[in-house]
Amino acid sequence: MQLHEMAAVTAGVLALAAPGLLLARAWLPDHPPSVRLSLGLTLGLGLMIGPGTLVIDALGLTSARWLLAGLYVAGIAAVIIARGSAVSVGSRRLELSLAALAALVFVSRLVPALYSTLPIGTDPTFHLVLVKKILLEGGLARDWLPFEALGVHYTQGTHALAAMLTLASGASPHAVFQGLFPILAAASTLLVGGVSRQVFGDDRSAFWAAAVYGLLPIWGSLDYYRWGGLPTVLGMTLMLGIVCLLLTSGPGRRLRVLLIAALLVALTGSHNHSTLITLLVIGAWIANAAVVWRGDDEALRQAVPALLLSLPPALLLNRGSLSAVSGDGHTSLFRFYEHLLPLWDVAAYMGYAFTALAAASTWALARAARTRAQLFLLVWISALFVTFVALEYLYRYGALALTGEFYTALTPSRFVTVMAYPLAIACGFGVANALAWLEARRSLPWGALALTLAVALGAHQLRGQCVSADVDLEALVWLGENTPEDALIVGNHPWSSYVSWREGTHTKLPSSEDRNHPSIAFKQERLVQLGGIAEWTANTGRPVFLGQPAPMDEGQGFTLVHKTEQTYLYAWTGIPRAP
Amino acid sequence: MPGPESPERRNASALSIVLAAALVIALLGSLGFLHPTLQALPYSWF
Repeated sequence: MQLHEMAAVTAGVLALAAPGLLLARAWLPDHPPSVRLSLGLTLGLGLMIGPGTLVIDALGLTSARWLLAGLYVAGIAAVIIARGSAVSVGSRRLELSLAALAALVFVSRLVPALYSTLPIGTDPTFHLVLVKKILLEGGLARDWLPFEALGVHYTQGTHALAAMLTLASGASPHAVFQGLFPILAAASTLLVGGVSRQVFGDDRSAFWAAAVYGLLPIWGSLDYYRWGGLPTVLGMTLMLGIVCLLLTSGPGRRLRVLLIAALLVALTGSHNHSTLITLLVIGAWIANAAVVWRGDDEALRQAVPALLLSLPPALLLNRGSLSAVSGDGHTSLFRFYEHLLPLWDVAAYMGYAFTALAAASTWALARAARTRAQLFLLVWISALFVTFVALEYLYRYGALALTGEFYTALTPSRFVTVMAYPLAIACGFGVANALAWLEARRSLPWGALALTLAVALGAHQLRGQCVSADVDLEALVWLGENTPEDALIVGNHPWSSYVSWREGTHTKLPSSEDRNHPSIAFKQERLVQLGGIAEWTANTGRPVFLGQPAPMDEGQGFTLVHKTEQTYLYAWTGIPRAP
Repeated sequence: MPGPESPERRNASALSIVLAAALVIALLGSLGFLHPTLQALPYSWF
């Protein structure tokens, strides 16, 4: 993406999120500016995801502007009504430090995006297909046509937001997809600091929590960009907003319940796995509070009504996803073939320095936890780790014993990815205490050295992890412009669906979709053989094309029709009959 | 401030035990994966 595209996407995000920023300013006067900004941005985007997706579903894409206009009126009215109620909260020094940190995180996510036209990773190939379908069809995607004759299970809030941002910013959908990463990373860094302040109540822990999250785990949390996990980034930012509000007490509970419900609706509309994680953590807390305090807990008093309020719109948004869970068993949700992650690979993935720091900090937290907010953090870490262990090891070995196959369910590696958030908050507490201990002994330089080594070790692990999109755009654009609309691309590149908009034999689909469907197996088994292609073209009359990195023998039925610097493009002309 | 035998402290202790138990299961599961039979199992994404 180009720098001017990033500017356009940022302007688009601000235009869509402005009502949320106004509401946060009016309704969260007792939060510091960094939280009002990040939570307001999250809320603004969340309102366009939740109600926005419902409006698009019912009335079409262009009707979302009327919702936005209504939200602007509500935001301005809220600011006028609440005028004068804002109080000065948070130390100026911490706010400036967090602002500098957020800027650093923003730039660190922006720089990789500037080196690639298309997003990196496989996931954006299917996410952008859904965004493009929403833009082309003017409503939510009902199916995966023209690529697969299958219904869509994936919740489309993230894609609807990207489509709205494409219209608002004038940038391409893939620039919007890339541009959202730096913005959401900066917002979640500030929210990590905000949640830490709610948990520990001190500035040092808040700063170090945000710094650790932004710079240490999983290659400085750059991993999302490597595989294109925009819905997870968005879902986790929404979750941080929800947790920040849940841990807030004092006056204004009704308004907080309303805001939490709005964020929950947005979360359920944007990403099912993040919804599962959030409900798991909130559910674990409700169970914990019910046992320990017999339900007498402020977070619980906010969580339960918010959950009930968000349920009807969430069910409406997730009709397709529910059919994936209760469907005909063609998805990979409960039969997910992923290599087992041993603990040492978990440590390597999260970063050795972060893992060591997180383990020590969680141990310190368990020994020191005295308040409900600190226990909430401990429950958050425990719920994610226990679920990871249950899915990655118990479910997998159980499946092996019962079926003889070694598969897992619900992508357990993602539970490790999102553990970075609560662990970073615990690390903030650990680092702040360690530095205070060293400071008391006039040994602060040792602490500075240890932190420098930790970041250096993380940077060292980053070496060799660089990936590029590696796409021959010229070939894919040629296929889109020079082949009939009903052409089939054999052995297609993952990006050919989005760029060429032609059906392929290897359409990339998320694990929530029916990717074990017989129609997909047929294409991948039969239509990669010359005999299968000959029979299929004779039956359907549809043209077939093929891209190869090296020239091939034309006697096999394919004839060269175009050549780019990297790709030889062939058309199927049939196997010559023997004389 | 809750005392050493407060519900909060007991809660923290219970959660520590849960975390430690999960860690032991994870370690056993990880070590089990070193067995040649499991290493040789084929994997497929589809």
